[in-house]
Amino acid sequence: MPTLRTPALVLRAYDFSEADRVIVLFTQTLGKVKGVAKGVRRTASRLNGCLGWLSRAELQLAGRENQDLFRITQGQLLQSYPHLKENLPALGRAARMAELLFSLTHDHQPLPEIFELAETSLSLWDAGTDPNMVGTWFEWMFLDRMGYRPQVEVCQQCGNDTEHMSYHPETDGITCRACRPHGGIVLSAGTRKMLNKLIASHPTLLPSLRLGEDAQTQIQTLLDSIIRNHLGRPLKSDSFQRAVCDLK
Amino acid sequence: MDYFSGILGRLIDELGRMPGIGPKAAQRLAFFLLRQDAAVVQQLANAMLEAKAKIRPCADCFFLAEGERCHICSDPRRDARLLCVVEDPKDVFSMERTREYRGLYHVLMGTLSPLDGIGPDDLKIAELLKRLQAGHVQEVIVATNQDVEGEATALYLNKLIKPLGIRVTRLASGLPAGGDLEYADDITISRALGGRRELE
Repeated sequence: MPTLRTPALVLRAYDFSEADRVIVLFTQTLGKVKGVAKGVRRTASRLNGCLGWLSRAELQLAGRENQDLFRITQGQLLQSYPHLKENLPALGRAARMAELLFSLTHDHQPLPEIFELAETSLSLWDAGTDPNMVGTWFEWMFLDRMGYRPQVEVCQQCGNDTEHMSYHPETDGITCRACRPHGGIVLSAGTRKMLNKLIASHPTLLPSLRLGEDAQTQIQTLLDSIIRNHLGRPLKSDSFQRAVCDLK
Repeated sequence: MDYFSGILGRLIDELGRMPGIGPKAAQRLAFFLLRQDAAVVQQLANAMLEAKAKIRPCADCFFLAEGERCHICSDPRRDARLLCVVEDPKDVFSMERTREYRGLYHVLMGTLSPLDGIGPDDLKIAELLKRLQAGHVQEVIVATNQDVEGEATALYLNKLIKPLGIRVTRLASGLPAGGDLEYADDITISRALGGRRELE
């Protein structure tokens, strides 16, 4: 059976058979794929350490490139992001990231740029960067690269740029108050400026960016709405994120 | 082609629903049952029905109980100052096998699992806090699995329990007994190193 090696992030795992697990991976070269790790639930399994949720590993997969289920035969842990996993708010945001990659990407669709985004976000969370800033950056960049990001520069009806605009999920765009005075998610000029800044910012600049409370609320409502629009439901990881955010 | 239909097919289908039982194993079990005396099969069926009818979660700890409370919670020799929090009733059996632990248990019935939408309200966390507020427990040992979900649950519990003035500890992790250092993965070795102890 042919084998291939690829760096991969572990998105989720399901117990399978007596001691096996089916692992959903987001790989650099193949995109999202599934692999079965035989005997991984036994303490003595050598694969055990590199297939933890949200770990990055170099994996050897046995199977043809378009196969539904690979067999994970070898693995070398590259990064386990231990500090991220000890930080509940960061873990909450990382869980949203994993769910987005799992739910909004297709199997066997290579997305190396998204892989790099995810890898960078995990490293930033692990380094202690503000979890909300990194999470917001990832989600906005992810929507952009996947082609789901609405334009937030000018009113989609009259083309004007005014102080207060609203995002309307049904038209997936923003309108000014003159064109549509009611409803939608309010986005102030400052929030829209921040959204554009996020797209243009190099990730190394993220620790120096600050999101005001209003901007954070507006952007989060916008992101949730766009995601719900494309996914057809809210993210399941939301309840976990809310619970860990409520902790003092 | 479906070789097994009718009563035998249904038996194989029912057995095949059980965890870890594939179609071949289900067939083997079905043929085994057919070879047994009717009394033996009746005994098995009775045991299954009786277990289903009489075994309930313990009112205190959610471990398996034949009455209102399990045999561990009802045992006065158990140390009520120690409470071990586990994910699943199966974990209680694993802990009991050691014969080292003499405290009580609390079964969470799962762990926080963001991608499955399992949050704190889906676990027996509120019941745990209620138990702790009764005031007998001095130490909570968090014995959830050593995976990310288990660790996140442990962190979450620590944040809730610490303010109550109760000691929260976590099971140590590291090299398994009889394990070979050469074959251990990086995380296990680094955890074993972090949790090293002085030789007495």
